[in-house]
Amino acid sequence: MYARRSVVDKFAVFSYIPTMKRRSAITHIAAGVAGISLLPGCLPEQLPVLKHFVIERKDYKFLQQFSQLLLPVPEDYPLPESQENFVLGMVDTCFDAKDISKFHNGLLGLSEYFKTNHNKPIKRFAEEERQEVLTTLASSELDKPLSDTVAQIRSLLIRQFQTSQRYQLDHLEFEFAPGYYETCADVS
Amino acid sequence: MPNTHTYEAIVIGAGMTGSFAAKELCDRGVKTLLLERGRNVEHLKDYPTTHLQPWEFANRGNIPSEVAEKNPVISRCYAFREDAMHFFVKDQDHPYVQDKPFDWIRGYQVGGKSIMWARQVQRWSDYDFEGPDRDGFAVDWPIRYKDLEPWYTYVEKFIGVSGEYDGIPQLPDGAFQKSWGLNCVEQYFKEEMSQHYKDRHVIYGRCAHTTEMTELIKKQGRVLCQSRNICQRGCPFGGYFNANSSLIPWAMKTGNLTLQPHAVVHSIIFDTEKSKAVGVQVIDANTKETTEYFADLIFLNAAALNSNLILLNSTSERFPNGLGNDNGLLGKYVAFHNYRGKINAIYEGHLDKRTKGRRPTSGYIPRFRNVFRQETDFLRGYASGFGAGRNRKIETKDLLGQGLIDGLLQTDEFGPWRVNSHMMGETIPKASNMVSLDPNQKDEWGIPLLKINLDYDENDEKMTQDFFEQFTEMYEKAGFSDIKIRDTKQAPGLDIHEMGGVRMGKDPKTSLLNKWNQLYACPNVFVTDGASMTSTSTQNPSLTFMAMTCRAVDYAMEQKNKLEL
Repeated sequence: MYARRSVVDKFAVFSYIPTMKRRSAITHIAAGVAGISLLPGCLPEQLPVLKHFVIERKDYKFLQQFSQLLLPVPEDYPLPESQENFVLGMVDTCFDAKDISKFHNGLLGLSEYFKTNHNKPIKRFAEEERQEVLTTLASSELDKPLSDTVAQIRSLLIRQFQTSQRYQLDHLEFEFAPGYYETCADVS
Repeated sequence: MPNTHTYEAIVIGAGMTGSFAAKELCDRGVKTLLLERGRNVEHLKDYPTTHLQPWEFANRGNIPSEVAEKNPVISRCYAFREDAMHFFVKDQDHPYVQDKPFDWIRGYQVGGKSIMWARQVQRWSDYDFEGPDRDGFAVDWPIRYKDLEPWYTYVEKFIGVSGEYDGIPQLPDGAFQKSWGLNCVEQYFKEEMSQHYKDRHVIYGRCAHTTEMTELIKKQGRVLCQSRNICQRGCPFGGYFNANSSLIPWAMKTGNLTLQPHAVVHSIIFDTEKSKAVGVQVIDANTKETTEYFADLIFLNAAALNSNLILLNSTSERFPNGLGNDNGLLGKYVAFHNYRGKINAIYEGHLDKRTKGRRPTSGYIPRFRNVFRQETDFLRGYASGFGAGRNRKIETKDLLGQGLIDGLLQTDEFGPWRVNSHMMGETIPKASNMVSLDPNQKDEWGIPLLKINLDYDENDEKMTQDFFEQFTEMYEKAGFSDIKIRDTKQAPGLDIHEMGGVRMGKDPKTSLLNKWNQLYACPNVFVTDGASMTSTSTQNPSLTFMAMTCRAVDYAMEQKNKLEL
């Protein structure tokens, strides 16, 4: 957006510049726009390519923030993929057509619900608002299609977290090899 | 120019028994062609998931739904998961006709199902071999335990079997390496059962895993099982027995083995003038070209139902109904194991104890019904597994946000012990339980589709009920609670223990194979896989298949040397 606006602003001034200087100006502006577009922070986040449904950017962003709301994974528990990409990947790959459709509709419904009831991104919620929302989500206030989708997302996020490396190693005593078996260990 | 189409022996099928036959033949200096319809799977090189950690699986173990939809049969198999699905056939590539529902689980590659098998091994006893004769439900076996005993030992020493010496007459002890042991609740259940019953034994599940570095194991290039319990992926340590880590490389080293994957055997060629089988007709799996290979000695080890198919398809003027099928019994008396009964419960004791780590086996309860005499209103009986474990008590119900994270990170507590058993029931072979060739439909190699007509009967229903009753009683006596029984109602086949159709017997009028697994009507053909079984008993059958294979090869070579073959 920034790159586009700077071009528009420059064109407003542009019409008053004599012709020969305009060509030079065009060249410099084009170079400037190209240069800005190479800055990583300015690139739009890549949406995952899904086989069975299309997700719009606004809903992807919603899922990203919604996932972090449902399960705020600590930074020192790195995940192999982002939460939203894991959820979408699992739905796209492992759900059947009917369940994909239900999920997608549920996600759109949740996105709309949040827009209607809060009208701001989740990441801008105050702590009190976050807790209020979580209480609503945990209750049976939501319509079933939406609460089912919440439960599905929650379940997938838990699966991702519990299969992550640090969780497996630190909390489930996972050792890849050499394995061992103690038949009767003390619980403590 | 050497004739590359003529060998001294041909083995059809590079699974567990075929690879063992090839190894035994090669050890004896026999130039052997080992044919496998599927691709090659080389030990180490072709185990793509063996080193993957849980977080490295994109679907965390799940099968993609598209795969499941296209493979409805194979998807029902417990081992068909993200880490091992590449070792199973695609349903659509290998169709068959289900006259009655049958889940035919197959793995077409060098190594066959020995890559994904559950590695449980138990010997038969004379209570098993004598069963058909005593109870009158099938022809008498032409062999007894004493005929197979030395071969059981031979095989166990080669493959490496972890077990304990239990001294149970209906489940003979073997040549065992050390065990991981029963865990405390399995041990508790064992002790409880010994107090309440004199004939119900809870033992350590004998399994084909190396727990000691014997010279023979070292010679195979295998090392100790690392107890990772992800065996179905293939094991880089050779810690469990599969054909790929042991038999194939061993046979290769002799210089006598020619391994040919992608070779679909159409039929065995019978020469009417010579009055013997002379070779096999093979269709290249990829190019569909036909080639004939010749040998004086043929071992058929294509796995039970495929061995039936090949024989049925091996027609000639002499054998219009299939090779060796003078009595019309080929394809009949197929049986399987009844795995329908499941039971699970909770145990609130031993709460100060748990297990740590992994173990590739669990407890086992040998058959106790109708062993020494007929006692019930159903014939034969069932063995059972017994497992006990505790999961961490992670409380997350209704939690979201930081509360959910906090709940997930509380992993110090453990829930109750959960125990479970599943039945492994003997089914009665019947003429009506059979396979045959479809007269109209063929596969992409032009081979008639196999029609499978197998079903449970009243004996199986009664046996399943008895399992529920007996195990409920046993669980109650042990103080287990919240006991839940479940009849899976699964179709035959998911047990992956189909057997018969080319049964052994004493009389060529009522059986197809003699006591050496030779076709009566074509003695230079041996069938030593599950197709040869006259009855199924309750044991996991692979050990018996392998023992019969080694015995048959030994006999075949003895006869060959005497120019009898």
